[in-house]
Amino acid sequence: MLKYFFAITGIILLCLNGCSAIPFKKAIPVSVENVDPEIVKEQFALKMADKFQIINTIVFEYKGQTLSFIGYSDVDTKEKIFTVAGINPVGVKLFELMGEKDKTVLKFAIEDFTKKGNFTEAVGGDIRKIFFDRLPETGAKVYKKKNEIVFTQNEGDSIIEYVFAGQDNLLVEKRCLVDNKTVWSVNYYEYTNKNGKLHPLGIILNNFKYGYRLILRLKEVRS
Amino acid sequence: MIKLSQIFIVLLIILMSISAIAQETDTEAKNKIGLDKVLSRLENKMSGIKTLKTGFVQEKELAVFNNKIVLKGTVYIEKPYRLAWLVNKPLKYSMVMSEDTISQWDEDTNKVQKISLSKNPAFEAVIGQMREWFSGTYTQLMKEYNVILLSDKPVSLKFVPKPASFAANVIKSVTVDFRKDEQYINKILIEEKSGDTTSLLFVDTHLNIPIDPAVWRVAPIVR
Repeated sequence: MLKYFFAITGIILLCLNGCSAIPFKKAIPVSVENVDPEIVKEQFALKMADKFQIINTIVFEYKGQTLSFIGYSDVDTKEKIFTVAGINPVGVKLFELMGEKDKTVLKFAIEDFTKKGNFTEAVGGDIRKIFFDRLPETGAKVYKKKNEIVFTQNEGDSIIEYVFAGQDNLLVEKRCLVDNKTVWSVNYYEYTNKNGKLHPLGIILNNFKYGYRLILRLKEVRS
Repeated sequence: MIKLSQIFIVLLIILMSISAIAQETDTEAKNKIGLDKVLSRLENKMSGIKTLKTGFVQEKELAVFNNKIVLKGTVYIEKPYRLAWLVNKPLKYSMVMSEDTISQWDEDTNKVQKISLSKNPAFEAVIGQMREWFSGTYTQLMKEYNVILLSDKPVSLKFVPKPASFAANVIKSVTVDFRKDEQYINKILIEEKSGDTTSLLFVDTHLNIPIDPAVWRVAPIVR
């Protein structure tokens, strides 16, 4: 009897932590038994845009509260520079910041955003997690699951894992583990071809450490 | 010793200056009369509007990007208090203002958020101004703005916030262009101090038509 209690409690806890609704289609599971991980990496690198300007709608979820806005991002993944701005649906600018390598500069933010925590570093960090370093480094370790190829590499005290899956073996998840716990993850859904390059229609960033989630929906690509 | 011719030249310059100042004051006075006439004419024409439905194209140009963000939707007004701002692109969003409340909904979160205006005086001030812009009560706005008549036919007015006003912190100027028949606004251009601009072009405008009561209801969509 007790084991049923633990099993049910476990399922409920799992759902509370990780079963938030995903509004995108997951990649169709396909066996990777005969797939060469190095070719997967090389092909993905060719399909990705290095420089792009995109418009997303973004939902920020935190402790049951949600904030919806429109994001404009100008990203150069090679030079690792970006400019992002958020406007609300009525067209009022909420924030604007620029990033270069590891430095982020806040150009503008409404007062509500800057009251708590380090808004600039948080947004800059999330942009980097989502758009930069979407390819494992040369020399990253690799292992296969039934339907996934996972590259893994050390970065300081943390481990970054890159999961490739689906019919075209594209990047579906990038996650960061510290002491065997996932502290953040970025999931990429429903890749679409825009101007000859692939862009995910949906992106979800989960920050388990601070308990928030970002949902990005691609609306427009301007390269 | 000063020569008589030099005294004559100095006197001539002073006289010319006085004449120029007098002419300027005369022009200003004429402009003021012209402006007052135009404003009362506009208010008179727009006071006859009880309901309004108009499409809009909003172009937000952020100084840091070389591209515009375009939002499209429909505005409904029912005097004295009701205003609905519905966005169709790039996301579906609705904001409905009644006398004391604002209700907001967007398709990404599918949640309705209500804000009490009496409990948010800053919000109330902004909304109050929004109502004045759209309903044509421009003499009210003259408390906060200096008004310049750019053109009489078709009417074009430039509103520059007075230095001590709330708007002066953000806005450089607001230019309002009217339709040829002066029945309603054709375009609003807002220039911000940051270098950002917002233009609102009103299209397919219908005056004094019955408005579907469903427009004023904001509710989540059952999926």
